[in-house]
Amino acid sequence: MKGNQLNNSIVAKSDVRLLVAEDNPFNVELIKIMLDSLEYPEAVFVTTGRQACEACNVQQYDLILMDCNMPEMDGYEATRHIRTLESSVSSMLCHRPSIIIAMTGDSMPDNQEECRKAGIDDFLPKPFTIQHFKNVLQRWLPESD
Amino acid sequence: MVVNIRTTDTPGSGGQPDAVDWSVLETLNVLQKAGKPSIRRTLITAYLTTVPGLLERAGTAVNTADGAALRSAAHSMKSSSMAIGAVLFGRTCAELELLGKSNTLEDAPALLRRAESELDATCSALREALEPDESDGVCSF
Repeated sequence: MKGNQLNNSIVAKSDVRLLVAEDNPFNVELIKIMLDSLEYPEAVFVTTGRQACEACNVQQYDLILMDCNMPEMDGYEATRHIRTLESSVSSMLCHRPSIIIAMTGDSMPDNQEECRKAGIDDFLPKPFTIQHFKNVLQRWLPESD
Repeated sequence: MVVNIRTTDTPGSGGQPDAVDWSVLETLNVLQKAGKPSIRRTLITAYLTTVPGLLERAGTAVNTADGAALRSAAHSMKSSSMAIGAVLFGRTCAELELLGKSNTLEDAPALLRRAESELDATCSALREALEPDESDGVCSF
């Protein structure tokens, strides 16, 4: 993993733009609680991969927590769409690609390889503890303003 | 709102394994902030309103021999259950997920019946952990 991608940038913790793509209401509540406890800004939540793509069409996000197992469009396909979108606009607008973290209950090597091929940067195996959650976010996001 | 919830010393019933490992919720509860909604109540309510519907989806998937749908529903139930401490039911969900993934559903009906029984016990334990007025209508299982 590359790590610390935004730590070296001017983005402050309070300015981080977060998108969470997760269809399970229990997991949504759990992620909200963990983000709040770590004092990250309120995230935008969507429940399908298609909605995640639409959200990225409207606004750029610094980090996306992407469930792999979603209806309509799964996390892999959504990531491929988002990477294609980024490659078409980033050169014109100097956008930095979003950091995409896969949330998956299947952390087998073949699954990780599928994630990498899709353009996913990191993994958050489910079920995750607050410490796992914190560790992954801190690899990529600034820890303070 | 004050919420009375059983803590880690909640006993199991009759020597049977506990449906819920309460230490998992205790770990999450350390994130509770003053003035914020109760974390445990929020998570228990979310579980009770989400997972029974997923088990219904799994049942439909078994009845229609749809391995992919079974895998998806079981996968989602597994992660929620492990996250709240419903370890026994979570393990059964993992078995259902494997059956769905391999699309070998011969043993799925029996496993589904076990899952229904375990989820029933899980929901009962979680409902008991909430005050009576808080559990109204949150689990129809």
